[in-house]
Amino acid sequence: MSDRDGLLSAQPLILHFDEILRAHQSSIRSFFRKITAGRNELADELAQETFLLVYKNLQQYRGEGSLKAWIYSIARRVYLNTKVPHEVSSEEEWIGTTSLESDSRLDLERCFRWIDDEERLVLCLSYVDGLSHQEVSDMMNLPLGTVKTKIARAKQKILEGLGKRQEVKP
Amino acid sequence: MNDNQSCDEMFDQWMLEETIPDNGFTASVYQCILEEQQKDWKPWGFVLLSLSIAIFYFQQNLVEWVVKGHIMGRMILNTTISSIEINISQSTLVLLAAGVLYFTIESITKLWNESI
Repeated sequence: MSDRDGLLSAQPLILHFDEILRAHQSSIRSFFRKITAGRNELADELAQETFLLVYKNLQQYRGEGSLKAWIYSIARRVYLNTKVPHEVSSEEEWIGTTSLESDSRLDLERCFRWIDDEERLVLCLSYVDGLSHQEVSDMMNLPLGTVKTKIARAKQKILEGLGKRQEVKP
Repeated sequence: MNDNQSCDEMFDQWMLEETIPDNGFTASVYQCILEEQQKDWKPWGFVLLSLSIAIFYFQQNLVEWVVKGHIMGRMILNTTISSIEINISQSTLVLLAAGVLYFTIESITKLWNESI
């Protein structure tokens, strides 16, 4: 959508809401599915809330930065304003379990729940196709260096968790 | 080392944006917008109702003017005005006008919302 931002601005954006919604729904829902670590229903609720805010505030979008970055800044706000329930079991308990049901994807999702909200946000935003680290930095109001450090640290924590898990797997 | 590498690859693979089919999501967003608009409208309905009541109530001259106009009209039509008794109280007129205004606006809004 970003390459079409110029074209969209020629007419009131609200007239293009349907186009915007259809173009970004998959990306935003995918983002929330990652950030909520596999809680798909909650992810869709948050995506719905995001598009509702996009609809309400579309007239205020001034064209500074890409439309995608603007939509993600709303998604970020929605996520921070929502109390996402945390994992009940602790990291130690989970690493010690030898459930045969667990697979790599579930392991990843669980590791993801243990990193703090800000790190999780920065990490997920950095993987959004078409968003630069600079845009993530602007969105999060963090210096570029801090963003890069947080991405590396969050990824390292997840990989460490996964590594521990692999060691105890039967 | 190999384990680390495979974890790394698995992580990158998982983080890649997936394509999620609509499956009614777009419709649910529109439903949400519709509900929100209807919710938003309620205060406006009451504000308009209160405003219209205030305007009609405090501008009694307007009501008098309407009544006088009616009487003048009757005079022009050579009707005996002495037999005309104005029974309609001002408050009834006020409430009637406000009610009509409120329900007209509500109906228009509902029609507008349904047409989106």
